[in-house]
Amino acid sequence: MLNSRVLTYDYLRFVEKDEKTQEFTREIFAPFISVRISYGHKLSFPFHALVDSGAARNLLPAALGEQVGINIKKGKQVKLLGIGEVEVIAFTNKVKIYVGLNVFETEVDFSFEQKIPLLGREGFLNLFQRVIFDENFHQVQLILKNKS
Amino acid sequence: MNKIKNPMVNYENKWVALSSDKKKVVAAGSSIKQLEKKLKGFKKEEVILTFVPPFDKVLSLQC
Repeated sequence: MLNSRVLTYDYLRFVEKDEKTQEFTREIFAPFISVRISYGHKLSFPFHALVDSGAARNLLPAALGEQVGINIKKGKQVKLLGIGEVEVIAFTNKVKIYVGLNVFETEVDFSFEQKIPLLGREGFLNLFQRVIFDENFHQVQLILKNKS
Repeated sequence: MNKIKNPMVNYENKWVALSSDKKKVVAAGSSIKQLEKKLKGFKKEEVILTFVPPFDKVLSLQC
């Protein structure tokens, strides 16, 4: 990391499999980054979350919130609409999110129906000055805002 | 082409704990809670919890 205002993460590597032959066909890369959350004095394990510019808000599996002691259903209930107009019930709670050495207070929607942690525009991407997805180098860069 | 070397290749649809260098899977479970039970004795900083998505589906998420 040459510039302390720029957090650079390599995409996470997964594999792709042919549905019919079940043969692995290639590696695929996705912008997952390692983050942690805390609530009160409890800090989660680091976990990989997808930086998802298509997601309006942060959406995490409820078990990650329970890991830090959140009573998920005490949060405000929201209905989220995803691809295919699939509706997901979630509960909004305030947490701290740790990104590298930086800590931000934010809101997260926790859902018992969600498996993949998503970091969305409001509550994550808007914490940064700029977010760059580099599809050639398979890196995502989070550029911190200037402190005023 | 089954020669792809990826530590998550045997853990489709599971939660895994990757080593902090992401080179190996140190524990796996069908849920986060099951995985947590297997991580007793580990320092939290030593692992990264990761959901391994199905390999035959395209990750196209938005909410």
